Amino acid sequence: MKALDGLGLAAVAVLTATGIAWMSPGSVTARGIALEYSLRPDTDEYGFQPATLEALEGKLLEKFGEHASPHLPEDLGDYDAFGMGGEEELARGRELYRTKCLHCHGVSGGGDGPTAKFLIPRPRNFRDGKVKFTSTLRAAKPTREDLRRTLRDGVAYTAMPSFQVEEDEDIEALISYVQFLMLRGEVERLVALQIDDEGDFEDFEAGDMDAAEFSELLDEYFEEQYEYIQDQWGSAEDEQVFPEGPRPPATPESIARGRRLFMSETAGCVNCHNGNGDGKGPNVYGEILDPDTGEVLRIGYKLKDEWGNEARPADLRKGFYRGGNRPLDLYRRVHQGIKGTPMPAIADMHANDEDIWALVNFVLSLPYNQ
Amino acid sequence: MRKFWIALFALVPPLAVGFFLWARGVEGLWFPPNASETGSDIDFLFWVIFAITGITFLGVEIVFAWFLWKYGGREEGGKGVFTHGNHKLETIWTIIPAGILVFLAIFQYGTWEEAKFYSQAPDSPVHARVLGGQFEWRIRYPGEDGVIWSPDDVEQVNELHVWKNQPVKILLESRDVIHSFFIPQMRVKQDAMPGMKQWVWFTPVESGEFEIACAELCGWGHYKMRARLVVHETEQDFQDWMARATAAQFADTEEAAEEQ
Ligand code: HEC
Ligand code: HEC
Ligand SMILES: [Cu+2]
Repeated sequence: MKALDGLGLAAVAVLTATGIAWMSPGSVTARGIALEYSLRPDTDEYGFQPATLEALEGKLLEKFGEHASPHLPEDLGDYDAFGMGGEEELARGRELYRTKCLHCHGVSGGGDGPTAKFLIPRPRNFRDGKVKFTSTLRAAKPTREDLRRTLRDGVAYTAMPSFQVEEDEDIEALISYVQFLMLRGEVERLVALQIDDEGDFEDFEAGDMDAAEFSELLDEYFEEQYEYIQDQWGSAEDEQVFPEGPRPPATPESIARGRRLFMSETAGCVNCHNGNGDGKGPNVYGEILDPDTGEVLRIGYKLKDEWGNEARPADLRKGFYRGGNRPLDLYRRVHQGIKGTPMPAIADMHANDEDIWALVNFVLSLPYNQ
Repeated sequence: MRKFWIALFALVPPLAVGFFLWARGVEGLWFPPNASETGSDIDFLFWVIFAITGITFLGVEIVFAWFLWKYGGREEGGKGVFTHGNHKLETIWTIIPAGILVFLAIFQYGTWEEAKFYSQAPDSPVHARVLGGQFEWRIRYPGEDGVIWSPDDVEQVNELHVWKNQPVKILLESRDVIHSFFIPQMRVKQDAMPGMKQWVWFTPVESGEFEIACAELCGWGHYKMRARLVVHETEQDFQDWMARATAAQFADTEEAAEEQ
């Protein structure tokens, strides 16, 4: 009896200890899930020596703070200029992000959290400040309102959940932290590009330039990129897309006009979304061949988005829209396409307001046609 | 050691009673207050079943502790006493629970009917369709035509609006796996089955905000499948909200977007 009691206790102790060890930060890192900022994987692609990478990483930590103490670099501008609340709000946002978003979006916003690999579509790297569903022009940044919408409504029928029930301040803090990660990620990319362009790093790596000098040089690069970034984020509000006039009623004529456009070669919707709207158009769905042997590997989606994920055109019969279901949202989707995906901006093809509204009316009628 | 185990098991009944008395006064540990018309019937049923099981539990625990004391091995290595059962005793302890079960089955029938039989659903038109999906609730109001799934529908996520004293009738569906639509204060809980249409109804008698939770483990994100129920004070309040929601749903210009 005594022996059995002892054995039971020992088993409980071992299980508890294993649990604690499994969940402790150290072992999470050991399982390949970084809990600290890492440099972007694409920064590795320039072929910098470790010394340069370390210098860059050090600078980033110096300017944007360690993981536990995020703050905007002084010269990047006020928190106000980005619509953020300040350092305290960022700290709060970081806490929330860690509990609610990190497991999908990753510590640094790279879309590389532990859950990410199980999801279709995958969460993406938003470290360039590029997100799919915004009110702005294709090349522009999202506005805070865009991010707010994404958080409140989620992205319909993807793993990105709605955070509707969270408190307003928490949502604002989360937006600020996401913005912070975007700013940080973009600065990193731009500075790395500049280092590569200017070539000074070769002197540094060869030992012809000392660390202090290189550090000063980096400071300069950072300053230069700040300006560009301020511009980009500052102008987002002004680059929103709005229709010229209100949506015309979805009369049979308007829908028929939209349908004609949808099927036409000029707009080309049909090539991707297919004639029935199921999203398996001839351009995007079919046999995928092995590039070497020409053998058919499988039947599937052929296009990729900028993040390298499979781009599946929406099934328009389902009646849900990732970027929001208001006519305005759809207008913007059709007008500017979807950032980072092959879905093109029809506004670039000389479509006028009426054409776009007709397309929207047609698209909005599709779910109810069956 | 023997004394320890006896004391431990003898402590269970007083602790259970103490915990029960204490928990009732602590918010978040006991039932949230009922806020629906028929909820009191459900609560009453709950109390009846709770009394039966509670008394049985206490009785069993007391007998258990007593047996430990009476028959527990007093000396190391002592042998237990074996019996071959008692036919009479077994008959009694089969018949009594069976009787209790039959009683409950009949006794609860009216409440069950009221809560779950479609014939008892209010004849009010369907208020909204709630579509469960991993891991959110999409809520679609029929719009002016009263038909769900038509171009004038208003769809929102994780927020259901109703008004006080409205006989709310909801069409419940799932788009992937089994979820369960649970509003504790309204005393409704109904599984949402993929491919099936279910009906849920309740009549809120308090205004305010309540939590809707998924009560069926539906995947890794089950814990966060939460939504909000907003009960407006009057039908007019609800209609005002609905007008705003409709305007938001059909926003098509800069002005319309800014008004939100
Ligand atoms: C279960 C995983 C998951 C969680 C948790 C999650 N997201 Fe997402 N998120 C996604 C996926 C998947 C997408 C991509 C959706 C798509 O491609 O349409 C996404 C997209 C986004 C986008 C970009 C939307 C766009 O327009 O491109 C933002 C911003 C975002 N998430 C922020 C957050 C924030 C902030 C949190 C935490 C409060 C969070 N997410 C929690 C999975 C998740
Ligand atoms: C090159 C292929 C391609 C063409 C051409 C194309 N689309 Fe798309 N479309 C896509 C892809 C891919 C998506 C899904 C993007 C995503 O969510 O990742 C999409 C999504 C959509 C959506 C859903 C938006 C949302 O919020 O979920 C609509 C609506 C749409 N397309 C309409 C159109 C219309 C109208 C046209 C013609 C003017 C068109 N598309 C042309 C590829 C295309
Ligand atoms: Cu669920």
